[in-house]
Amino acid sequence: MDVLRAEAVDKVYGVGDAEVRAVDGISITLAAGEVTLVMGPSGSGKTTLLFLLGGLLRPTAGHVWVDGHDLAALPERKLPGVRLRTFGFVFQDFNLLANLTARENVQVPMELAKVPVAKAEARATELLTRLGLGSRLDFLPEKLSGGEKQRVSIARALANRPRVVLADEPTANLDSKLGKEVVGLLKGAAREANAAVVMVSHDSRIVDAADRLLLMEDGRLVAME
Amino acid sequence: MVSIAARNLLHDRTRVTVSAGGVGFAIMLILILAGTYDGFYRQAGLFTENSGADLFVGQDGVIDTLHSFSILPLDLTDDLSRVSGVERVCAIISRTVELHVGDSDHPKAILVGYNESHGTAGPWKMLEGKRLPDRGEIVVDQIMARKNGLSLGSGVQIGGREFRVAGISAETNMFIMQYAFVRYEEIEGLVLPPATATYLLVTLSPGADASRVRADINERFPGVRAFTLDEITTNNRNVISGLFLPILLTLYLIGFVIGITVIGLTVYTATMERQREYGVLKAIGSKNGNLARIALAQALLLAVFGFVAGLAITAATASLIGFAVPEMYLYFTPYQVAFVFAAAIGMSVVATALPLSRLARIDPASIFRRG
Repeated sequence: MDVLRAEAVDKVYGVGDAEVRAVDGISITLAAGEVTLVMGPSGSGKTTLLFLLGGLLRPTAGHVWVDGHDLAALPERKLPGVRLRTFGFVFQDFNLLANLTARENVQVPMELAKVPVAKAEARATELLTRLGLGSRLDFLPEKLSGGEKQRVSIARALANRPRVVLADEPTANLDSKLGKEVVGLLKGAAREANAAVVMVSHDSRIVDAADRLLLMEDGRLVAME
Repeated sequence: MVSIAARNLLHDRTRVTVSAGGVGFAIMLILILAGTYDGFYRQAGLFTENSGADLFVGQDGVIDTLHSFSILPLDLTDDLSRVSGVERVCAIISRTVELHVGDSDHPKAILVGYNESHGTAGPWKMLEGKRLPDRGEIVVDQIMARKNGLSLGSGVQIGGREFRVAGISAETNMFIMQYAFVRYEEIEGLVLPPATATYLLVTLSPGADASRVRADINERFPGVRAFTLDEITTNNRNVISGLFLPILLTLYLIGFVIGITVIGLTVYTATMERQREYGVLKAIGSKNGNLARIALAQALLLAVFGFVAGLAITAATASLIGFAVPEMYLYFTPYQVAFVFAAAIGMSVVATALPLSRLARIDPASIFRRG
């Protein structure tokens, strides 16, 4: 089942001679439980595509359909709500809130979605335990290793049972073994939650984990495997 | 979201302590000013309120007893006594005089010659000694006594006449001057021409209408002006309001601006430090309203800490003032404290504007950029 469909999406920055076409006519669909890896050289438009799919940027042309909404046509004030309930984000730098514990970090998106605290706490505990952090629930991020932080970040991304998880260079700050382990966990947890995963990465070591590989160059999709 | 606000704010305890102290000083400034104003305002009406009279009669043109000068012929007492509804009329003298204490001290006092027959316009609250002095005796205010080393039995000279301190009164301090009380007959002809009085205090017969008797006196006696007790008390207090209110409002405003600035800068700094985290919250779906609540919660927490610190600083400052400047009478009421708490909350709401505009401009996509 398709959970997201992008149709002829363009993103253009600047005008006239200064115009840069960061994403050029990309159309893709994401299926539930499918892991898509987007690769390409720096400046190829991978991260811009991720922003467009996640409603963090508006396309200059084209449509991004998710859950019956066209993100390109939604008013600005509605985008945060769609991001909160439909997407989960995993960042290269983990981006955990430094003064909150691992469990509280996972609770944040649920609190934003007005999930009752007790329920949010139980789900955060369950997610973190499943990701092997049952003994680290009340640790602040500064007390966690890089791999542990990324697992907390994955748990946070899955907290609101998103339709799509968008991961930006999720293994960039991890060594090879940890990187593979984290991607494996992300894939497993997303499959279990029936969420589509889009990973943007330079890391060729994680290609095996992907169901589909998209190669980008100069804003275009040049290959799809 | 409140836990994020509290954790972020309390993360740097030194900064929070310094900021709460800064807000506390602003609160203290506002409270001390309010206390000073209310102290003066209250004191300005105590003499007339406690005079025991129903009407105050003074020379026409006089509207208060604090900075207007009234002089009336003493024989007017009998004329006023015949007005319907008047039970008794007592002449009193109230003049600013220099007291001579020892060889070098010449403090100024509002000297009241009270009516010895009925006790009208005498001191109303005593710390020690007699309330109504006899011949050759004087009652002085506690602040004057303290500042000039006076105690029961001490000698004071007025216009070359010697008086012995027979009582020490309270609530008779008017900041730059204090009240002192002697018998009317002792200073008649000493501080005013003979057979004159400053005011005539009218006591009404039971059931008499004060407004009607006042109107009757004003109509029948040209050159005099009668006031009800409420009117003269209000006029006295309005003198204080007129003198202090513009200054006070300016200083209130300064205190308020200091509070807003301290809270605003602290919350702004805390926001800037965590800008990336706010970006993360926006990226995962937080609306600007959620972030505004975090900033507001931080500002409110700081205002509450500052308010508590302000109460403590005010208590310490008030003790210090009481010791160093005893004439400065501070009067605190629950209403003032509630007002200042509301002001602190107001400060925090206004102070949130600066970080709010910053939060609204954070681009959620910016957190994907490295570094």
